[in-house]
Amino acid sequence: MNETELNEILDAAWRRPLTEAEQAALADWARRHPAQRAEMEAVLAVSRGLEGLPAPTASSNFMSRVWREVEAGERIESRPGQASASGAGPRLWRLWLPRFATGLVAVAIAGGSWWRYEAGRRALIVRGITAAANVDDSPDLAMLREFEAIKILGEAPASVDVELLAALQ
Amino acid sequence: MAEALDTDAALMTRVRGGDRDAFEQLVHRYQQPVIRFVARMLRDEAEAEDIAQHTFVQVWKSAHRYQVSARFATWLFTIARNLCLNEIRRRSRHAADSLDAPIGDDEDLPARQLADVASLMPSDLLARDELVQKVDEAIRDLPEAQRAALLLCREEDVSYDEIGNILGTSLSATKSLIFRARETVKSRVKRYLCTGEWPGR
Repeated sequence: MNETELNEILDAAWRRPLTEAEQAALADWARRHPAQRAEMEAVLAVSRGLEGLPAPTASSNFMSRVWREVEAGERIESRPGQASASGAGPRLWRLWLPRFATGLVAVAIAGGSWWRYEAGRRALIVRGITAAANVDDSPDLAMLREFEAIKILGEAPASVDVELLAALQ
Repeated sequence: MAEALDTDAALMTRVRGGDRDAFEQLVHRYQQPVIRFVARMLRDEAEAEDIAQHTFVQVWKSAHRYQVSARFATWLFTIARNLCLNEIRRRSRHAADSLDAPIGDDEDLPARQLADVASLMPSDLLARDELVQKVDEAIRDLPEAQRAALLLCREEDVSYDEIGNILGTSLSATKSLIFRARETVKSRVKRYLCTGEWPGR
């Protein structure tokens, strides 16, 4: 047996029970390659262990149970009203009604807060507009003609004011 | 086998048309592999039949979604595996049903001291039941995807490609899963054979 054949047997050991010939070939390989003996023994042991795993058999009424479940599902689907009567409806309501109510309350609170914020903002705008509307008429145009001079006076250093006062005196 | 594949596809085509006889033929053909797979995935023979039953009910209800180009067994085991996953998740939410609960009491097992390992083969070293229990335990302790891959390997004519389709993984990832699963199980059994100690996960 060459290595390729060995690997095929090792792979087969995981997939199906090994034949007597395959087991003998593996044992023979292990004898000729003592370093790999433990490995071969482990594979053989696992193969036998896998073979012995419990394999439950289907009960004789398996098919009829499948049909019963299929038909029960079809009955419920064909008569939606039955869903409530069978308890699925009430269960759903019990599950979702509290969540729906909680969500509704959260939305109401958020909506109320938003409405109050908006009302406050609108009131502020109205007050501003009202205040602006009550401001006196614009100053006389003659005053605006001196605007540049007044502006420059504002930017001049304080010493200029002192000099001007001294000149006036 | 190609003939059987054609027959599966042909039967499923009839099932899509509501043919109950065709469905029964498929159930009879696959009920045993599905129950076996589910039982080993869940390690619960009682539950296995129920899950297998749900699997076939799903096949009937979802028959219109089956594509003839896909292999029926791949589609079937995908449904079975998904139902197993649901069950595993459900159990993990209920600690009382934990899959991790030990089945046997390992402390009762005597530690084996093998005087002359070189002259013996495994069949001589271990009682068959004990060996099966250890292999079973090693498989149970694998991560779910590795366990599924390893068990699907045992099903006849399920290729690596198809296992990948069932698990939703690429071919290389599937091979890696299978390799890691085999290495883990083998190394634990190997250590047990050599030392008599059963290593933890």
